[in-house]
Amino acid sequence: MFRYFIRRVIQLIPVFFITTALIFIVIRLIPGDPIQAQFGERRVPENLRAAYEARYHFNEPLWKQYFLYMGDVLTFDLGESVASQRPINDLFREALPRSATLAGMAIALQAVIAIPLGIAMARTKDRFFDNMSLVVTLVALAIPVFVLGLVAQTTIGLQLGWLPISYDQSLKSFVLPAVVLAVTSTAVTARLMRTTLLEVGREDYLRTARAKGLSESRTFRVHALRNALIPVVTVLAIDLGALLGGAIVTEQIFNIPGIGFQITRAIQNRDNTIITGISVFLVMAYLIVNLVVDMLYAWLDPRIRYD
Amino acid sequence: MTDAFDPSSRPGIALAASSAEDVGDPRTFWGDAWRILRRKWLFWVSLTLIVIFVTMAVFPQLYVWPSPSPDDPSGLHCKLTDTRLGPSFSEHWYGTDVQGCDYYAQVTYGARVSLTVALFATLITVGLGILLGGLAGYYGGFLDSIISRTADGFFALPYLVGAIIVLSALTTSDGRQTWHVTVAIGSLGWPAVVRLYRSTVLQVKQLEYVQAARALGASDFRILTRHILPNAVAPTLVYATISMGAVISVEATLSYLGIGLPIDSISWGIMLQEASNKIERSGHLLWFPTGYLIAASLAFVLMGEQLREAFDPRFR
Repeated sequence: MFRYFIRRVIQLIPVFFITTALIFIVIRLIPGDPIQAQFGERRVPENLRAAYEARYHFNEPLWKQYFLYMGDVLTFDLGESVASQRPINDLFREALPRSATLAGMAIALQAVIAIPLGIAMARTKDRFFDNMSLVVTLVALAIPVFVLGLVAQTTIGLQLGWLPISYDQSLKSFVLPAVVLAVTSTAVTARLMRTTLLEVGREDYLRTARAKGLSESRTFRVHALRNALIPVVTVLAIDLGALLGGAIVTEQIFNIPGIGFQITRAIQNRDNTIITGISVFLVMAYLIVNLVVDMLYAWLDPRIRYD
Repeated sequence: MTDAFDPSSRPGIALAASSAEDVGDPRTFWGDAWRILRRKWLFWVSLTLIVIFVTMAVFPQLYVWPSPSPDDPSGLHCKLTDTRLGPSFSEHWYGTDVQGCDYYAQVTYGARVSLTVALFATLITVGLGILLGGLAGYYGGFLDSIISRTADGFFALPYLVGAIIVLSALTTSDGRQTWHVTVAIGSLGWPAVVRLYRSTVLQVKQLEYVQAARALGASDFRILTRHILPNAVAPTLVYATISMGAVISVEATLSYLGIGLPIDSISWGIMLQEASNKIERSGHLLWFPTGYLIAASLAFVLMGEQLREAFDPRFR
């Protein structure tokens, strides 16, 4: 297990550098001068331009900028905003808890609804409830999140007035966005739960469990459900990782100043260092979550042995 | 039933018949798939929807009349005094928008740009994916490592963030054009196709007829295009169909965020963006484009699922 862990970590290193280098190049390709952007229509004074260039290395060749930046990143310093000179780490300290609260609530909803729904669908396979749920989840999948957000905001938020329609620092203002965020992924997860449960149902070890005289409920709980949960738990973990990076659309609609909100604002303000910082953070988060998921997989499923 | 990637299921080669009556009736992989598909009602539903939306995109004059004329170049019958009328059976079926333009005509014309972006973005995705996935799967080794690790890298960045960054990089001072959005969406989707196509190529290249072709002296190019491609493309085709549906939705999301299509284009995403702060009083501005968007997206996703079941031997 430990050797597998080490091997996976070593595999991550090239992926990390390839991705961050790609991001770095593309962000530098964004047309327009990031220093000029800080001065709007006014001309940039020569001495200030020199100061900016010295501080952010904008005049160095691209590869050198990349290595200087990576040096900082490896000491957990993501740089600072060109616009406000605020350290990006500070920005994370503020924005990350908000995105994490939203993500946590959405994933909790997703798990609580999708797992029982998937089980119910599998148990009523091809009957009315199953068919109805398949159609409903499919439609839920096809609705774009922003439409869902807008509709929820107008109906539940404005017309019924049950929940706040934008962020006011209270936990309550996270509820509506979390529900909106959870709808699509709940549909995916419920369908996955149904499929894996049906696939597990055909496995030999279930027949063995029944043959040795276990009750139907014990066969289901201990043998079928546990095995079918493995891919579902994986999906939940990956979703959580993705949501930590902020839900761009949902945070925008409900005005939650989380990570997704910050990156859209940085793009509007041409704040290249923030765009880079957040992207690099997102890549790291993704790689770490995937590593954890792989280890979880190896631990949950004794048939998977990698070394 | 035969395995989907079994060489004997290639077109033209007779399959070992399961019953005596089948002898002499050559059955092909694609023929089998058709036999399964035509019995499914969901296949016919999604096909009908796709035909409706495709004709709407190519020949909007079939659905909207009168067509654009010199008096009314946009074809939207705009009359500023008619702003935000509700839907009615007599004149404006879907009501009018803020400028007093007929909403039914707009929603219909919107099909063209949505489907064009979806089609070309998917073509870019699938083209790049098949090219790179084929090379990676066929040659393996160092080339495979480079391609696969780069694909992994693309997965590491959330799709929307990637699209926003690529779009900002593509946008020049002349503003954004439709092809910018197409390229941005297309250039981010290929890693999934690489993974999928690479894994099918790995399976197919082991098969005897590929070995035979190689023994006969066929070039790598010929083996990849004539022998491997036709037998490995089915899962990618399924993915491409589902991806068409997904792209329709992604394009609308980007347009809603204000970083998608140019603001003067007639597209469901742009319509929804304009409707977003008028939902409370003029709900029809939201419901009609949303309905079309969901129907179009769902049609392709459903079609993809039906194709998957028809192509995948495990469902037969």
